[in-house]
Amino acid sequence: MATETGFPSPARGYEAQAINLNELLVRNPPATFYMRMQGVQLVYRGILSGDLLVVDRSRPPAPGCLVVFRQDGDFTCRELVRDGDSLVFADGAGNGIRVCEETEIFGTVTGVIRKL
Amino acid sequence: MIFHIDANSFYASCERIFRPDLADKPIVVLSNNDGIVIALNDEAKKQGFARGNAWFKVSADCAAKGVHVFSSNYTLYADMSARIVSIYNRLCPEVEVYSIDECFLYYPDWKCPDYEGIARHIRNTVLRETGMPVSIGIAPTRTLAKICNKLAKKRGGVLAWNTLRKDDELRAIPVGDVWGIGWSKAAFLRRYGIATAFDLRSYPLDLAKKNLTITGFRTVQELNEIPANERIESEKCRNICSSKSFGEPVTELSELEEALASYTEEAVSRLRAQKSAVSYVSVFLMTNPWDESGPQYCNQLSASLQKPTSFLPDILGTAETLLRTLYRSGYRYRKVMINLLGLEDDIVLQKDLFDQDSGKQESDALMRCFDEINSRYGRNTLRVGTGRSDSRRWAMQRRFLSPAYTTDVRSLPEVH
Repeated sequence: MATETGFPSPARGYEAQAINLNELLVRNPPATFYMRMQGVQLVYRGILSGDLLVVDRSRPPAPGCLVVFRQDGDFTCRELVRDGDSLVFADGAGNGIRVCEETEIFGTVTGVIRKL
Repeated sequence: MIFHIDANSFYASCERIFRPDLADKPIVVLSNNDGIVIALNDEAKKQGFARGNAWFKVSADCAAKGVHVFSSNYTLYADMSARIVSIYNRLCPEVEVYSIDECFLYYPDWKCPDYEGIARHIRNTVLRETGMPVSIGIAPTRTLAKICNKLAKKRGGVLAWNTLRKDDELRAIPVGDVWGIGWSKAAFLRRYGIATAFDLRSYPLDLAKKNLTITGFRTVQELNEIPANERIESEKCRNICSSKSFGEPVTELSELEEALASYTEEAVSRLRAQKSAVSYVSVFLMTNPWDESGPQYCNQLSASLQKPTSFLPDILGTAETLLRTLYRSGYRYRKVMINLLGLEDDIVLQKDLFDQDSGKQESDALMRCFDEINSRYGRNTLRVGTGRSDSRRWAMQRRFLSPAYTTDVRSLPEVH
């Protein structure tokens, strides 16, 4: 859970601070987990296979969010989209998985980390 | 009002959170060296397994019944525990960490508060943010809060003492199940006709003071809704935790080291009193989430010892190394905590064939002397000066170890 958050105290003077990636990427440390994307399902959203996903379990999933959920014994990540009155996990290729009561959501993707 | 919160099958739940294929599956977790079953979930209990089963006796049965087996992964458990503790600290100003999966939360006695609503909020928040199921007992004393929690596990996860038919509930609880009453004390009490928690509560306080130990007397008080301030010990802990919140924020590493050293000494004296050895140490460091003026920092780090030990300098050396790695300057710290994990009996430690540490007897003698002097002249009469660490590693048998999902970037859970 190596994470630092919060704003620097104004009492600390004007010394230059190194950019803190944790501060930029992690809003709620105890609820934040990292996962590794495997596969090309989310390329249309700019996520490549092997990318590191920042997943915040405390961020409520809303339409347009990338959401990690449990499916057939695996973690799956898809875009949550509105379809009429219901919600669907879409993969950008026209396939959808309907969200139902049994759907077990792990968390919402809030960031992507990729080393070039 | 006091909330007692603990995780449901903590070790097994930690394993399950990162294994989407294991929902509703039976899980057992093995001790150091994969010796015995130390934790299991309800699904595994229903299959007839129990804590304390020797692994070599039940391994075939586990395989036949499709039970999933894990070696204890203290790196993962300590990280999940720190996340949960940090959530409690965000939601309640006064938190006492009792063990890796158990905390007491203290709330003021408000006029007409909805304590159950607060508890349900805590429970939902921890489940949503970490995936960990917890249950909560609410009562005016810690002993009663623990009793409520145990009942809560089968009644929706949250239970308040004031909503119960108190006498009926206490009559159904064997006296040995009450906190601080182990099997030997229970046998003693039964000879005096005290068989249930109800009997113990009805025991007159003046007689309790005369005939019982000080711990026994406090237990009778607590059953009568009179809070005892002192710590109550279980007979034998599976992990030992020692911490304190600082009254004034602490900023310097040297001050934190001094505090950590004294908590470590306290934890190790309890470790030695119950004749256990520790194989895994975790240190937790936190600022005050209620102090909105300063930057926040909360982190935990753990390490395995080269072999199970009860030798204070080795444990303290490891703890201090962890603290120095955790420490960042520029923060106002509120709490430092040490957790001793993976405890086993000190007497059954097997002598390692390649053990170069022939000084075990000398260090035992030294520690006995240390304990003796401190118990005679007061704790902290003798203190350990500097820690030392050693890079030699203890080769522990951990055939079923899961990845460090939350702390190692090479071991992250995969998403498809």
